[in-house]
Formats: sequence, C-alpha cells, structure tokens
Amino acid sequence: MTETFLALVPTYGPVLLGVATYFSCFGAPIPASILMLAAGAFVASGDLVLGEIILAAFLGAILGDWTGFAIGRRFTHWLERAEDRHPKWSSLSHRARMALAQKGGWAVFFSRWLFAQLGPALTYAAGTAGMSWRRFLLPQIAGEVLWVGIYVGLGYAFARHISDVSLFASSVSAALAAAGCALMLGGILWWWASNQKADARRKA
Amino acid sequence: MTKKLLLIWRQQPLLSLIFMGFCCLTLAFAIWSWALTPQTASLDKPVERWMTPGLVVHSWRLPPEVLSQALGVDIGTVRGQTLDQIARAQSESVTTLIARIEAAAHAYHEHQAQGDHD
Repeated sequence: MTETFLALVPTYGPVLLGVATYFSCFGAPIPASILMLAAGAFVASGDLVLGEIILAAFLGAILGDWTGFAIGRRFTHWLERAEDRHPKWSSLSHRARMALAQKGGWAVFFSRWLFAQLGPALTYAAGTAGMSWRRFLLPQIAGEVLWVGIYVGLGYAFARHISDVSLFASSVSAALAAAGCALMLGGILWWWASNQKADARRKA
Repeated sequence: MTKKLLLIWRQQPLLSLIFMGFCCLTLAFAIWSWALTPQTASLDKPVERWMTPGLVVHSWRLPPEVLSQALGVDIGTVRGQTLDQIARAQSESVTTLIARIEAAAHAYHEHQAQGDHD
C-alpha cells in the first residue's frame, strides 16, 4: 500500500503532498508523514523542487486543520445542549471543555508534529470545546511548520537510506501516538481523581 | 499519590486497563523502532520499483552514465519517472530492469574497490 503511494510522489509531487496533508489533517488514513519523507528524498535526488514541496505540504496541512476545526466548532452548540440535558456529567464536561478551550494551545502545538497521529482528533476536540480561532492559529501554524520541516528535512538528509527510514519513521510515529494516548488518558484520569478528592473535601 | 492511584483503579478500572494497554503499546513500538534503526549501508539494499533513476544514482552512489547504460536511456530524459514506468515504456518487466541495475551497480563498485586496492 505504502509502495503504491511512494510511486506517486515523483509523478505528482507537490499536488499529491498538498492533497495528502490536507486530508490526513482531518483524519483520512493517508500516510502523509511517509510521503513527506519520500518527497524529501526525491528533492535530494533532484526529481522534485524543495520550495514547491514545502509550500504544498504546509498549505495542505493548514487548510486541513482549518476544515477540521471549523467542523468541530459546528458541534459546540450540540455539546452545550447535551450538557443542559444531562446535568449529571455537564459539570465535568463543561470543566474539561473550558480547560481545552482556554489552555489547550500546547496540546494543539504538540499534536501537530510530535504526536501527529492524534492531530485530527485534537483539532475536532478543540473546535467542539469552543476554542477561539485566535488561540488555535498560532500553535497550529507553528506545529505544522515543524511537522513539514522535520519530515521533509529527514527525507532529504537520509535519502540514501529512505526505505529503512520510512519503516523506522512509521514505527516511531506509532510509538509516539501510543505514548500520546497514554499521556492524555493518564492526564484525564489524574485530573478526574484530583476533582473527586476536591469535591469530597468540599462536602466534608 | 498512592491514594489517588488507588481511587482511579477502584473507580475507573476499564480506563485504567486501557491506560496500561497504551503504555504496553508504547513500549512495544519503542522496542520495534529500536530494532528498525537504519544501520546498513544502502548499497546492500535492493533497488525498489517506486524509485527514480535520480534516487538510485543518489542512494547507490553511481555516476549517472553507469545507470544510463543499464537503463538503455539517458537518465536526464526520464527524470521524475519511476523504474516501473520506465520498464513499462520499454515493454519489459520491472524485475529484469532492476536486476540489470543491481548488476551494473555491483560491477561498478567492485571495479572501484579493485582500483582502490591496486
């Protein structure tokens, strides 16, 4: 499957990269990171032009994030209505939403490049939580600059070992995605336990 | 801290198990990544059908004319095309084309090694 995608890189170059990063940024199962690595290698071999590749991948990623974020924001009212209907979990949901909307900038930043496989889920969550465009844009753009720069740069630097590097990068991003999920779930559980203890103290 | 961990385990056993599952997955992928760390020189690696002549020249450190000779065309005229596309244009199997490239690359590097030895 990945080989089929790799074969398309030298033929369709920037267009393929732009489309791949666009759709992968709102959750389509496209190996955009691997395609960027391969594009970097084809830049090193003189088949593709660096500026075109960087620009296309970056624009695709930015527009993909914006689409996902805008879709997420459409569900904010739906979530607010659901909170009104279910007062039992509305307080917890409201607090989680506010925490993400007001302090979620770092989560947006790191989910663009370090935990890139969690990016789409976090984009939807940030939009639904009601994060403002102003809070979303800076960490999002900075994160995407790093994502595109790191993968295209690695592909360029390790062009001679590109077959090995692609497999290695898939495995590392899977490890990072699992670590990101563990961190998020661990953080949520810890936050929940702290709230439970605070509530118990208040009641006492 | 222990009290908090016990509270989480007692009240959220399913989420705690999922959390442990993610930790195990992280460890497994980290070990796998370590095992896959690129170490071997690409000269020992096979040429792949999705590669372009430019990438083969770059990876296998070949002079362009060696590859042009193996392909039967000037690589400047097939820039950006994959070996698969070149083989199809020449109406031959890509496996035969790759075998010819690998033979030419090995012959070139053997010749170079002998030159260095003499």
